Amino acid sequence: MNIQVAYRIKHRYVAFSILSPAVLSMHEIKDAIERSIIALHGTYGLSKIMPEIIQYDQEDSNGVVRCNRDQVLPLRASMANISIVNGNPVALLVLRVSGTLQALRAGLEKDRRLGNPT
Amino acid sequence: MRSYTDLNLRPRKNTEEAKMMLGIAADIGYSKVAVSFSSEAGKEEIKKTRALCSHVGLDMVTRVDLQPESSGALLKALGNLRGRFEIIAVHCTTKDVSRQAAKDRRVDLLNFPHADPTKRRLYFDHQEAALACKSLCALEIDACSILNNDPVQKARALATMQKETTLAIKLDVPIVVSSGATDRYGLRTPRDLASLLTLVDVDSDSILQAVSEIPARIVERNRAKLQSSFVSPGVRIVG
Repeated sequence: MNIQVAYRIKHRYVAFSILSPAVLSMHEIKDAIERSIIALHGTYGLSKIMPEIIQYDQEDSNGVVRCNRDQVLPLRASMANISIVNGNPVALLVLRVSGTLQALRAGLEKDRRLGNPT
Repeated sequence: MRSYTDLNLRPRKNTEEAKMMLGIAADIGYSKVAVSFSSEAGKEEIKKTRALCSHVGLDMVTRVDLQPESSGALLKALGNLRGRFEIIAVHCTTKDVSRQAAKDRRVDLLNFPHADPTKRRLYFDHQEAALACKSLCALEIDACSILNNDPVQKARALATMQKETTLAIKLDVPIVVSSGATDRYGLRTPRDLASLLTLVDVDSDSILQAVSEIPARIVERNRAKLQSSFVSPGVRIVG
């Protein structure tokens, strides 16, 4: 039986880019995001935000993380709070937030065409 | 469309890193940045940095950070520097300096630095908030003071900032959030920077004003004051 639309957990997809002198693996980024959320919002906060990296390009240093729809601000704050990963300085910059992956990719493509990296 | 301002960038002088940092600041959505200069900075140095900024499409605002030891030293510095810089931020390290800065209309930003992590820092109290709301000073939250601390210090800093922002909101003192970045890794996108304000209990509906309308208003007001046609607030020579 399908879950009714009203009861389905709704998500937001957050595209981000990484500034760092080191190449960081998806595992390191996932770990850094989760640690930052726990440091700022606790385990309960992590359970509410439910971050999940669903796409990551190690060479281009960008990716997409999914979270609960009403938890974008705590996720953004936690990502902005990351300044060091494995001893390397890091900045995680949120490029775009969207409700569907399709719209997110279209938006990023549009930004790229217009020469606007954000 | 909203335009964003970072009121505190501290790039190292005329280096490749400074160029890259300003380029990234423009790319991630800022239209104005305030570059912090020393009080002895010459016109040539400011001109070079302005050229770097305009090359990447940024509107540069000149800023000076004062850290006087007494209120007398603050008054003297303000007299010398108000006509040269668009933004004046005062680092409040003693009570008499913070009181004087809060009531002086020539001060734009009040900053309470976390200089010595072993001691409790001076904080923005009710009296300063009452003075600041009359003198149009804004309370500056420096993101680097949140980011570059160990967890316990960070928790203490956040607790103090929560009290300060609550007071500022209660007494209508504007709040500004800035990155305080010295290199490109200290930069955050405007919305990311604003999201840090949710950690200090600022309402999510008004956080974006701290990186857009409020800093833009301060810059606009000071630029008008620095024009030769300015006489006093609300009075200027038109003919």
